[in-house]
Amino acid sequence: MSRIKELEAEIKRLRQREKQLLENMKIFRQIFSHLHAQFEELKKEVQKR
Amino acid sequence: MWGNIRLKAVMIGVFLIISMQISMVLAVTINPAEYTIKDPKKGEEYSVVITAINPDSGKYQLSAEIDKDSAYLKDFVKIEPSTLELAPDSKENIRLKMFISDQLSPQNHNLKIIFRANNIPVGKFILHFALEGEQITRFALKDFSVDAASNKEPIYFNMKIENTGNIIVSAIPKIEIFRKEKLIGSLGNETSITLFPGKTTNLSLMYDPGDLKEDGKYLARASLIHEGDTKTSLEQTFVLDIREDRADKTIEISQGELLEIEENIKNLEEGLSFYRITWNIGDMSSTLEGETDEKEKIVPIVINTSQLQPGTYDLDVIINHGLRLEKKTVKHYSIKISKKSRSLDILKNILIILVPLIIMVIAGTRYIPKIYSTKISRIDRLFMDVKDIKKSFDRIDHEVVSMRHDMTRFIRESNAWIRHNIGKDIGFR
Repeated sequence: MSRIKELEAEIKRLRQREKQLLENMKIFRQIFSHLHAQFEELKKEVQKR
Repeated sequence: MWGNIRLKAVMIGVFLIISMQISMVLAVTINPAEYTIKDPKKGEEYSVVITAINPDSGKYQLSAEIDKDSAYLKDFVKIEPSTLELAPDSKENIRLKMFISDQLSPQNHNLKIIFRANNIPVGKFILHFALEGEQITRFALKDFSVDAASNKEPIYFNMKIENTGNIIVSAIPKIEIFRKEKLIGSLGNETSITLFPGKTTNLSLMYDPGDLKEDGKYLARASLIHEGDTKTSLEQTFVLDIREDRADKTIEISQGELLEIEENIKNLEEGLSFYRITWNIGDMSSTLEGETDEKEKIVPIVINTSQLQPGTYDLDVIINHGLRLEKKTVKHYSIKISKKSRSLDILKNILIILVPLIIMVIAGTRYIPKIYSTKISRIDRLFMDVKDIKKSFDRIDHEVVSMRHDMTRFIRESNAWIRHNIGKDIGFR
């Protein structure tokens, strides 16, 4: 029984880690898409000139 | 009322100060306004002295810089000094040195220098010189591709233009769109772009496809027009999916459930082929990348929908595959996310309690220990949780690899672009 409890606690920790990773990935994607958009803007600006 | 008058007085004061500044700055003059180098020789440097005169009683910070239209000459020009202080009622000489390099094209060149006093333009100087030689006007249009999915999203026409001649030219890019050999739309044809010899320019033109009403195949023709003549053109077909009900398949899941679909990629190459799958649903999107040497590859896509509220969503999946990811397939799914049913949860809990009880009743004398059944369900649940977590971590792993690829590609492409267009190694590391 105690082994099951340990495993359940471990799963709970992993779930939190998963949530954190998903959150970090979401932030990374937002920053990356922002960077991408900024660079496209720069390209357009340079092309216009 | 007094507040109003005071505000007006302050505004008039500010206006007067600005007007005085401008009129004072405009007093600075640049002499001469232009000069022509007669019979310039390659490999030689020519010097011109330009005088800035300040007849005013105020001092000015004067700066001289190359105009953006002459920026291509910047490596061969020296302005000494390029900034200086103009004392009241004085004049200063600025020496402009122009080196006639072998790299300069055989045509007329105009070097334009802009002078600013206290950051306000006060004059310009133009240095004209003409280089003799045989002029070759030649372009190459390359890698014409079309990014199109439906008439609800903009279409991007991408191409590379290489100036393979030896002179700087202005050319006008033009895109024509045909449906069943009939011209139905065009873009470009107005703004010209400057092409430098030996350089490649990447161009991406955006088109609003709102007026493309028919579903299916279209043909796009990209052309370059120089002095009224079409010099070169390339064609590319693209497919627009504009059905109202665009969904290839409808999938129903309940809120928070993982959305799992499988995409079948056919490898038409002899050996290795690459694929890139981009999906988007709601505000979420992601890209998966990989390679395969199998004839058919089934790629599972697992999407965590916990951030999506109940409702109907469009899931668009764009699959690029082939050796240069040149083949494209677009799939549309309609995803119906229903509310997580509380009554179902309650029913499940009731069943979890009732079933062992019923088994116990049926078993009668053959008593099934309660602890045993509880243990089984907990272990089962643990097993399911472990499987679920493994799946989720595998997906995260896959996405991190894909994000790393995206980032690396972005850094590589943007560095190449910066090197090419700005000419300095100042890109991302």
